[in-house]
Amino acid sequence: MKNPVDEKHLISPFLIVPLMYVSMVGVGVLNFQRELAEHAGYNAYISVVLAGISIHLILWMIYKILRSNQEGLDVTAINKTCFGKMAGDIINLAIVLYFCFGAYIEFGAYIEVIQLWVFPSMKILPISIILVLLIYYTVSGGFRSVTALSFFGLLITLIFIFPQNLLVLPYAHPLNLMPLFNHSITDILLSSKSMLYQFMGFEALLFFYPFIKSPAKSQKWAHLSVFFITLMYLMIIINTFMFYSEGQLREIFWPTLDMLKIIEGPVFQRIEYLGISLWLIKILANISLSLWAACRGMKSVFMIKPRVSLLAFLVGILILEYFMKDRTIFQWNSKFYSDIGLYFIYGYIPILFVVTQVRKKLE
Amino acid sequence: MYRMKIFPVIILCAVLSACVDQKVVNQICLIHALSFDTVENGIKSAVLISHFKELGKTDLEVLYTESNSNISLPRINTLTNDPLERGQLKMLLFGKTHAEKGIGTVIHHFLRDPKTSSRLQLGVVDRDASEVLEIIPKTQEPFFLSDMIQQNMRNGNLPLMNLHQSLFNYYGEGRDMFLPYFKLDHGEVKIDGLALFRSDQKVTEISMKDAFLLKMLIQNSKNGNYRVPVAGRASNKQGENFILLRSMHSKANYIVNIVNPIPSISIRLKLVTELQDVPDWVDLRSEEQIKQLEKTMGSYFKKEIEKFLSLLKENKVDPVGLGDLVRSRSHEWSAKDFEEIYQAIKTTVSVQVKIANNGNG
Repeated sequence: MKNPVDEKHLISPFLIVPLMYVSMVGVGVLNFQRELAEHAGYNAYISVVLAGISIHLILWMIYKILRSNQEGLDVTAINKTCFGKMAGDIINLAIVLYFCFGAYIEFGAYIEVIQLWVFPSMKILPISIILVLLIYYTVSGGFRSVTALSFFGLLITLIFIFPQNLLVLPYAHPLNLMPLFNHSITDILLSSKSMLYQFMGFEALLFFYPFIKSPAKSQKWAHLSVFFITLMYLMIIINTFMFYSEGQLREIFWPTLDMLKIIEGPVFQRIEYLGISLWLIKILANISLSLWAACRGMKSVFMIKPRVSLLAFLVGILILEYFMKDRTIFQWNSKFYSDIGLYFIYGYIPILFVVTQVRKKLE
Repeated sequence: MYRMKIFPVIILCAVLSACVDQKVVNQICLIHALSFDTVENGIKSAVLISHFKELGKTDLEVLYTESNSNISLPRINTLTNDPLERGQLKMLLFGKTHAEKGIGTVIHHFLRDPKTSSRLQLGVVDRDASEVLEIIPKTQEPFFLSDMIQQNMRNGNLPLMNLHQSLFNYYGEGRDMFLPYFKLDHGEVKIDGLALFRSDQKVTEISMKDAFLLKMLIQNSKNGNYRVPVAGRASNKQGENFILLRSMHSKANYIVNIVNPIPSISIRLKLVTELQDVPDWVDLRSEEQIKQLEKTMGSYFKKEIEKFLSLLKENKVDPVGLGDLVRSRSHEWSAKDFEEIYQAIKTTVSVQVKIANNGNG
């Protein structure tokens, strides 16, 4: 069977790089260091590497799953053929909700950053509505416009992250990283678990796979982007560990942003405001991608028009954001999301992998 | 279709740029420096604020308030006509008694505040900190003190310091904080060395001379000045037997020989200097004399650094970060255990001086 998606909606294989990037680098990159260091201390950079390797493995599985059927089927169709119509649809609905929830978490986290750092007294609703309108515009433009936004998200954050890491180098204390191994394997694995939360989001590939022109070619790009994203996280974490002493890191909630406070330019005395504003594009791309995946899922499961489900999701996000202002609830929610993500990535995907491979063998 | 879409996007972009929280520079009071002093019933703090009138014209003013809490910006707010903004805060000063009582709560407050810059400078004053602030309006320079510190870090004996560095030392295990120490002399402010802290309490202070030694021990001491006495030919004039040198480059190498039970550390310093001033009997063209000078300077530095390290051990302060060094070499380490053995650790120092430039003749 040929690709069911119309040629004009397809993207080139290498454009999977920005998509992987925006989905794997979220608001978490601004504050993941503290939680990561909680268990494994300053050995936690090992956890980043471990998490990266496991993501490579899962990515390989995803490609195997998607290729096990005829070309051009996304995860919803595979679920139906593997688990039957009823069970398949239940799983599909769960996945749709998972993506939608992910979009909400990302949205809420970014609003939190804006409130804390840029406009402490701002009301949530106006800015939320503006953001939601922008997201609606992007997602309703189809997969290609989501990709385009992702591309700019990638560009803009990359030109920001590398200079930042170079400029703080004069304050680096390499001694902080020593001794190299003084934490147990369990501690390091526990930290890997919290690192996984940062990588979550790349599962959107399960949905946009049919939208890639000659999808098989995209695999090397996908692995390449996972490799470089891991490298980037590694660079940030090592830089952070050299910049802060361990006791100091425990006191700081947003280490990546806090690091920016040391940089002083001739015109900009404070760069973090610029950084947060630029980050907006990447966050929008991230949310758009998740919501696009959710809408795509709704379309193939319940035959609901993407526009309708998109509106419903966005209104849902607005309502959640407006009524759950309490930050403890939000933190609880994101914890819940990361737990589900853990089961999704290390439970559901391997199971689906085994089922599809067995089916293939039987046939 | 395309045109239909472009307009909403432009409008959205315009709306996104927002106009909440406007701050026009002549409708706010900028805080430039804050000081904290302990008084009988709480804390007296003074702020240096500026009213921006027109380009190149700013009025500096010092306001006082007393309260029993640490950060009393709301109270100062009741004294001004425009809202206070702390984004341009560049200097925190602590009075001597306040620094001895502990400054932990204050610096923790500034750690949490996203508006303060990590380049904020901190300092201790040998008396009430507000007395120093009172002098600043006369200079017409709102950033006088912080610029002074920065100037001395770049061209003098002060090691690299700012809020981030102090927090690094304060919260980091196995190292202690140090801040510049100001003195009032005939109505002039001057930096008179460094105040050394144990945890958040000031323990002792060291001179500018020792500050150079500390700078050499923790970083490149570029541009620091030091005076080395040279015993030599009897000179007919008194006070001329000194060499004034300026450091061009220095590097400290630490080797931990033994970690357990009592650490032993050997410190190797390399110092490249430029001679600023030499007694007139020294002949700088003679290779032999230069070699001799390098040797005397090396052994003098060795003696002084050993003296300095024993002073640190005596006071149980560790601005050099020897504890951190030992931590990085040991599998298990605790700050508490190290504190107990800190006075007993062995340090051997060797200094190699090289004269690179001896001036014009």
